[in-house]
Amino acid sequence: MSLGAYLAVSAVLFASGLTCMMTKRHALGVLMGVELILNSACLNLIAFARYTSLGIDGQVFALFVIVIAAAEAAVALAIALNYYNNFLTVDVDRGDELKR
Amino acid sequence: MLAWLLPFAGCVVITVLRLKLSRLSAVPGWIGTGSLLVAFCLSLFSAGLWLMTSPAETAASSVSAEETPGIQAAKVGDDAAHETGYSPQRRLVGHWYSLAKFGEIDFPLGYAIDALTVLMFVLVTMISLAVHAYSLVYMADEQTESYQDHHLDHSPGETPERPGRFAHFYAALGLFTFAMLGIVLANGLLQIFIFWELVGFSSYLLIGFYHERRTARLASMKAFLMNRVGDVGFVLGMTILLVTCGTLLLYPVHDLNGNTSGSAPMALPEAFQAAVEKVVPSEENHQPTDLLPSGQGISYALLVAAGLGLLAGCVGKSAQFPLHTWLADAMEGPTPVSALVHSATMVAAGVYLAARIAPLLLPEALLLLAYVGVVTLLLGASMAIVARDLKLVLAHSTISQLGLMLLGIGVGAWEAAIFHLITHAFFKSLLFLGAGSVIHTTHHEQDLEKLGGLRAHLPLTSLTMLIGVIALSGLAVPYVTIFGESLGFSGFHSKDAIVSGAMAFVLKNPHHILLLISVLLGACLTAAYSLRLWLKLFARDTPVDPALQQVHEGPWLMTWPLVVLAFFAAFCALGGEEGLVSTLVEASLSPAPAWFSGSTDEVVSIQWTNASDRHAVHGTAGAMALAAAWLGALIAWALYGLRAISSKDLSRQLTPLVRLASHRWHFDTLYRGFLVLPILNLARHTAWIDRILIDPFIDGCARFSERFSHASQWFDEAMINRFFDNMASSVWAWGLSLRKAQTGHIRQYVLLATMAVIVLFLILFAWMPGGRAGP
Amino acid sequence: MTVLQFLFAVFASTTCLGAVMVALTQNIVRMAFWLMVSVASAAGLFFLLHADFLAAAQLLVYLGGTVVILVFGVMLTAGGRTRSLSPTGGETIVAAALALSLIMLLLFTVGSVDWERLNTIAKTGQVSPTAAQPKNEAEPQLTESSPTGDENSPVLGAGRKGDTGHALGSAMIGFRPQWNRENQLVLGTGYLLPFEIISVHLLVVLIGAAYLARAKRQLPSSRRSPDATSTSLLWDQDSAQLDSSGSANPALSQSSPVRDDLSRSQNLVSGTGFSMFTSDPQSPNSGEVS
Repeated sequence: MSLGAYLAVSAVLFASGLTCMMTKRHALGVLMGVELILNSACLNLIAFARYTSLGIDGQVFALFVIVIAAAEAAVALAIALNYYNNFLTVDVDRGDELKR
Repeated sequence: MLAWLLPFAGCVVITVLRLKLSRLSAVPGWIGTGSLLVAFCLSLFSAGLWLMTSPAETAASSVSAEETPGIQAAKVGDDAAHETGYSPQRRLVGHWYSLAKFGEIDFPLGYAIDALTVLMFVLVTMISLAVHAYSLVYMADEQTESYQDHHLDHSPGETPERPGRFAHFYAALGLFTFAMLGIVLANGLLQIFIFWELVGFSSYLLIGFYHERRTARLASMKAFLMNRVGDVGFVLGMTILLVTCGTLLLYPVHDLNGNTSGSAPMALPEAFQAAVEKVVPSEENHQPTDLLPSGQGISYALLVAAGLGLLAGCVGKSAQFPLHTWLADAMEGPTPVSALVHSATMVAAGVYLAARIAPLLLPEALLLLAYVGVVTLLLGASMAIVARDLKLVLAHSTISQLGLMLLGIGVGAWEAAIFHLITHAFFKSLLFLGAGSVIHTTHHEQDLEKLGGLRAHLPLTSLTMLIGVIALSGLAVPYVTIFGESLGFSGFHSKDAIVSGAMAFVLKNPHHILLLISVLLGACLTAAYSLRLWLKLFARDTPVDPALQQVHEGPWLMTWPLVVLAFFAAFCALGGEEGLVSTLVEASLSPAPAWFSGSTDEVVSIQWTNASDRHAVHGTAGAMALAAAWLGALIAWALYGLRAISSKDLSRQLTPLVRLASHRWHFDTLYRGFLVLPILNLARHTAWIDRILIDPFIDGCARFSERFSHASQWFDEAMINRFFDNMASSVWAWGLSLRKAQTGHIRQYVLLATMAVIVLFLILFAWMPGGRAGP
Repeated sequence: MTVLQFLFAVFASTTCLGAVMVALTQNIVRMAFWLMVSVASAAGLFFLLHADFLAAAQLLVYLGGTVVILVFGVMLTAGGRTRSLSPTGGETIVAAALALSLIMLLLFTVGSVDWERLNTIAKTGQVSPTAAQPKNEAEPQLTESSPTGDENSPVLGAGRKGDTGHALGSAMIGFRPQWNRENQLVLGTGYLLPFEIISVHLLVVLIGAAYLARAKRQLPSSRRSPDATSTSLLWDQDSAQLDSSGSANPALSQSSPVRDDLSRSQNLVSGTGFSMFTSDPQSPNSGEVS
């Protein structure tokens, strides 16, 4: 029950989110990966707030992260919907228009 | 006060615009005449307003005109002016619009209204109105689609036809009047110059009105070019003045009461006097060699040259001695145009300007002007007395009278000169319109030898022309006065003024007595030729030509202007030199500069006169002039009226002189031989040089540059373009190869980024083991 | 093994399991489910960390908001087959290798850092040569204990562990007591301005998201099927009435170049899965951006 344990859990969350972003072709899958990564950062912040002299500031930042995540989710969902409207698919691999 | 200017401008615009009207209608003429009528009424109204607003001067002048003769008038006027606090020179000066501003130098468009301006407005609009109305009849034959020009040189058997140019005529006439009014109104030499050129241009249009005739074309071109010769001098003088004085304004801006605003720039007379005082060396250390060089780079000679340059413009416009030949040729225009050109507008502009700028003229320039005037006076009179063409007589007479005016300016009596200008405008336009009447009714017959005995047929014309002739010759009944007035027409008074000015001048400067003698001789000749003209026209028993039997008077539009003008020619100078007109003129002109009444001048040692001197000799001069005029009249009467002496015998005895005069003193030949032909030859040789030398050189240059550009083009295409093409294509290929790396797949980017992070951390740990903090 | 340790083990294991399952599952709905599991377990971890307010916020925001929005988006966009979106084997292997190496790297880093010494350095402002040796006994021992929930502090801890709502609220409105280097309780600067900024930020995001979600398809033409000239999606017809920007110009899209490769692959994607959005089944796949 040390700081390291929490950090380890956070690391697993982070790696999972990154893997999601790497492997998922579904746009919402990528979005979920981002959520996981944010969640890991949040966990990290709270753990440091608990175990170090960071104090209440860590929790404040964690709160900000949560809010940002919510906002990001809303915008990303709207983007995904637009993407779907334009491409009739949610495959992010289709979104390589700028290459051509 | 100013409101009456604008309607006239509007009328002029309408006048110009109505070119679109039908050729057949008389509407343009009526429009032009109506606009002139409105303008005339407005200017009359303004003149009345002017007199009303200056009660002191008016009272003084009227009192002096009726009761106190002599010198008292000036004193009364001065006293009145001092009592009411008015400046002796009342003048309304203002600016409308600043044309350009270069540093300190401002070129505004403005106005300067004083009594002279108002007077000139009335004069110009009246005469122009008379001419407009007169032309309604005279030019009526232009209201047709096919006008037959009888004076055109054409092969026999066919009569060339052209569309009438009635509207054209009135447009040009309106423009002409407008330009002249602009000159009168302008404040500042630049503005005067603008309208000056406008006058020249519109006179070019009018003189060349019958431009199908070769003579008319040549005459208009001659008038234009002669004026340009003078205008070169004008521009030079303006430039010198601008450099030395820094302004071209004639009068400083101030309101009606003469209160100059504090920040007003110095006007030309003051600046000029300052410049003169700067360069003229003082009395004690005066050396003759000091005159030309000066400290500031402004030499006395330069200032003299400025005056001479301005005078050259006046001389050209007023057809004076070296440049006088265009005026006689200007007879090619329609006769009403001649009346306008010779009386109120074009030639008057020169004299008017000369009087306006008289304070700027240094003694040398004035003396030269006086001699120019004298020479012109004698030349014109001698030419007039032998001329056979009716209009030519009048033209030469105009030249002569203008010379008289310039002489007046030259001897310092510019009030008298302007006075004579006004009276001359009246009687000369009267004479021209009368001549036009004769010409019109006799179907374009201008030869004096063929005309004659028309008095019975043209009673009104003959009467009015008699008035004009008497006014022109300055005749009067000696020593008879009615109501304190000497019995004489306008020309008598004004000529008396000039003669007295010349006489006073000569009395002060006895070695210039030639001036006085010439003036008297000129007066004698004037009386002679004017009376000759009238006698030849009207006094013969029967017409020589039987075709003239059916001649009768023209319609009322032709005769009424004659009557009106005759009235003014007779009575406009009522009161003589103390009369209303003369007083107004005197009140508006600039006073004599300080050095003017000073003692002796260094260079030409002229003793200048002032008004009191002139008044002192007035009686004597008047008597002398009158005697000369009566002498001339008697000679003419003897020659042509009584035929006591056969004119043929006299002319036979004086054959060389007559021939010389009738060939206009061979000035045209002289100019042709000495100026025109050499210039033509020069032009021809220059053209030859152009063709032979310069053209091949230019061609060679062009060919060389063409070859060079071909080579350059080859170099461009082969070397430079290819180099850049290769570079661009290589960059393109590189970019294409790089493009393959950009898959556009987001997941792949994330993967690579992750990989990069891992590798970076591994490198960090591998190379920085000291970063570990714990065991 | 105390209760806390047990709870930590449970929550940590479920969190990790959910995250890994999110990464491994291919079905988008199941991914969403595993994400909910993971997030909820993380909220439990927050409780264990005495961050009760944040845990509640995590539950509310993520479970009540984010995940629901995600599921809603999933329903909207992928009503049918998603099998074709599975990654290739090579990709999966590479990604797994990378993820494993990243985990190992992170764990190694976590384990190799002496957190206690770093904390001391951060607190005293000086690097102590002897690690984890607090010199002053009166100094509150922060390691392994609760810095935020200081029981003795009347302001910070409010007397009990985990009661951070009060402290967070005070900090948000600009009232934030803290310990300085000299171990005195001073009033530091709060988070009033960031709080306001993030409020406005949220508002902007809401408006932007609503606008983006309502924006209609740009080019509703029928490229591959020239006979289907009408725009066939209900979505477009509804939004075309709502949006007056006029960018949905069928005539414009007619002139767009035909891209065959995309059309081929999109024929795979399209099909019955999109039938819920199409009013005209003959032209199911007619939108594409050029």
